Amino acid sequence: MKLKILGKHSLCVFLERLCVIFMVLGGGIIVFLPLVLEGYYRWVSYPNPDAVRIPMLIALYVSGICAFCILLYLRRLLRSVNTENPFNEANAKRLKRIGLLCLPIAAVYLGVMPVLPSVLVLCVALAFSFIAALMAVLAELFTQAVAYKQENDLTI
Amino acid sequence: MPIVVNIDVMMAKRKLSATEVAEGIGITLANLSVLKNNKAKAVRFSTLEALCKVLDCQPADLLEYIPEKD
Repeated sequence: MKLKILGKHSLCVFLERLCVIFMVLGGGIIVFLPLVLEGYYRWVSYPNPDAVRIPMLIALYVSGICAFCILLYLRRLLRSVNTENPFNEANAKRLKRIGLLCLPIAAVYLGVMPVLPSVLVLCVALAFSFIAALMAVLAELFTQAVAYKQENDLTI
Repeated sequence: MPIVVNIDVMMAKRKLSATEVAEGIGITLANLSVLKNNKAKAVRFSTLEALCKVLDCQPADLLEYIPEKD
């Protein structure tokens, strides 16, 4: 059974809906973040939450808002890929913006490393740095693809 | 653009409409319009061949080079 990537009832549509679900869940968590964090401290019986509360809140707010924006752009990109011509300037800009939005996430996680010295925090920082670089390359690729498509469209 | 496509002149000489020419070449009216208005970036040889066949002419009858004034 071949996996349908584009069109109706495809992977693209599924991912688009997943983005919406994550945006709703993520948005809810961002709004109630202080309460969610307190609940988390109680659940894991965190030894000294006062020392890490502010840095964690800053890190989670920055990364949460950036991630929400990333999901928004990703949803628009997926919709555009599935319904219209994917090789357009708007999609190239969206990829660029997604890459730029990854940088604050990487920066804020690197920033909280002294307070939260964890391998996972470092991994998140490195992963988002890598994704930011990758998105920059993909955005450039898309820009070139747009140029080729325009050239092809005007070749009779 | 320095290269001008004189399709209108040949269409008038052969008394053919845009629809007839587009159908004969196998392109859409929109693409024919792009060609006529010199908005095209390139023309395939296959399209040029079809144009010459439909309009019963030579490529030189259709293509003209007008240098840009500096």
